[in-house]
Amino acid sequence: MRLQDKVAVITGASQGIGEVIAQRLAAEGAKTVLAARSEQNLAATGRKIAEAGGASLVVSTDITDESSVVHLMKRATDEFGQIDILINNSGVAGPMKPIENIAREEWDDCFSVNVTGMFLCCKHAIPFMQERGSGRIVNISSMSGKRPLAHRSPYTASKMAVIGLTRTLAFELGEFGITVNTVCPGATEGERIRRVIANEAKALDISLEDAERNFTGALGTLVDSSDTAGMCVFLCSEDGRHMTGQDINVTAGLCWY
Amino acid sequence: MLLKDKIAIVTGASQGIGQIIAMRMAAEGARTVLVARNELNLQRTARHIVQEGGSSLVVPTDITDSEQIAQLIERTMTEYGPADILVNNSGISGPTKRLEDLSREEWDECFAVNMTGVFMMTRAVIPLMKERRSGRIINIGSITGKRPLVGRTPYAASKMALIGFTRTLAFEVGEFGVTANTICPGYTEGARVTRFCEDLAHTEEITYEEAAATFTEPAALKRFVHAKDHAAMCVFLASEEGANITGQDINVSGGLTWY
Repeated sequence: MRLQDKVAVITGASQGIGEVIAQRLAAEGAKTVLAARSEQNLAATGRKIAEAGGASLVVSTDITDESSVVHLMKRATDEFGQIDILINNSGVAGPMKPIENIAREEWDDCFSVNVTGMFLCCKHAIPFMQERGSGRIVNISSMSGKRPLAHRSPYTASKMAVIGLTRTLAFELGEFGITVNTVCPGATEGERIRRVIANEAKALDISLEDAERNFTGALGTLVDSSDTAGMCVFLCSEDGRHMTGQDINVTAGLCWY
Repeated sequence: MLLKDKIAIVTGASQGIGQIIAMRMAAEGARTVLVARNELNLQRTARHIVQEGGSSLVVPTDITDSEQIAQLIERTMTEYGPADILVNNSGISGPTKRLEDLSREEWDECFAVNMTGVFMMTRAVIPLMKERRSGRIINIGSITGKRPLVGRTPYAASKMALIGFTRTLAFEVGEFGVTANTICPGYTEGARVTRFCEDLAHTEEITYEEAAATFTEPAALKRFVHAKDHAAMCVFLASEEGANITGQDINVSGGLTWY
């Protein structure tokens, strides 16, 4: 139990990587506050955590709405008394189009979730961390941006923005004992990547195996959500106390910078 | 126990960061093979490990000598079995001089330990790791090189060489389930940093605290890091948690470097 009694707010906890991170943090003893828009999906994550003997609180939240974020942090602290950990995992894929076909609204939508929502969550969680002189913020970004990804310009730009935010925030918050890091997952096993690989194979008229090779790094494998969750636990535990301002790749070696 | 029954070779285990890495790995259940030139100092590390209930094997070795490395691998095999983990931690500071005052021999000596020794140790363990389709190579680099450190060109170059080595090695051994990563420690509390601060305080006629602040202030967390922070990252990378991380250079620097 490496996070015994820590209070952790996890955005995008209703599915995918966020759900696995929340489950893992709970398994390590953290009291988890699950945020996302869909209350129903959050409740499903909450049930899985409860079945495993963990603690969670479901707070339906739109992270692009500042009052909703304020409400989230208030509910978290009302229920559990403090916030030790913030995992900014919510994100959207954004449009898949050449830049000249992307509407201003599509661009804005992508940035409002991936960057502005993260800003708002940090802004309203940080005072509770400063009060206690400790805290851990982990932002989930992507290797995309570090690596080009054609036709995904809003997504890649927003994910690199997260890295810029992390580096500067680390220096703003260091003196308060708060660390800020980014985790950059690689191609993560699941329905979405399988769909992307299938589309790629079809579009390029190559085998599924060949298409998959474009998503696997030095280890020749995809990564798993549990890998990203493992890194989150490390960064939030005592072991990670002296790491801040970093963007850490969990990509099976697909990205090394 | 994140490393239960794993066999870990740790070079430079006689003191400093290497000693702490070996102790932490042993505490996580690993059987540790302690490597350095000085047998007496290695025995001291071994005693610490045994006192905590851990397991260790002392093999005094010069990592720039291929025959001694062959003997080390053989002893490891006989006593424990094939190595699961290699921590290349041995390293020297090299001279502190301006480039034009460095001799070829000083340059070579720094690279011999910091880079060639890592190459030779890695070359020696890789065949068995590939055969068993698993293994972890962890190189201890430095933030130096990423950040300039005036007067320390051989050290800085050798530590950046490690990063280049790691990235290419990761792609050579990845298909065999072997990962290779570098950890880049920042200024680490201990005798060496204390000496730095004392020297600086003396030459600049400032207090020890002021001298220490020149190292800590540029870091986001405004403090020195500790050897146990590096040891924790070693354990993470060597454990199941780190299975899908390879080719990376990871800073453990309190936010002194972020690239």
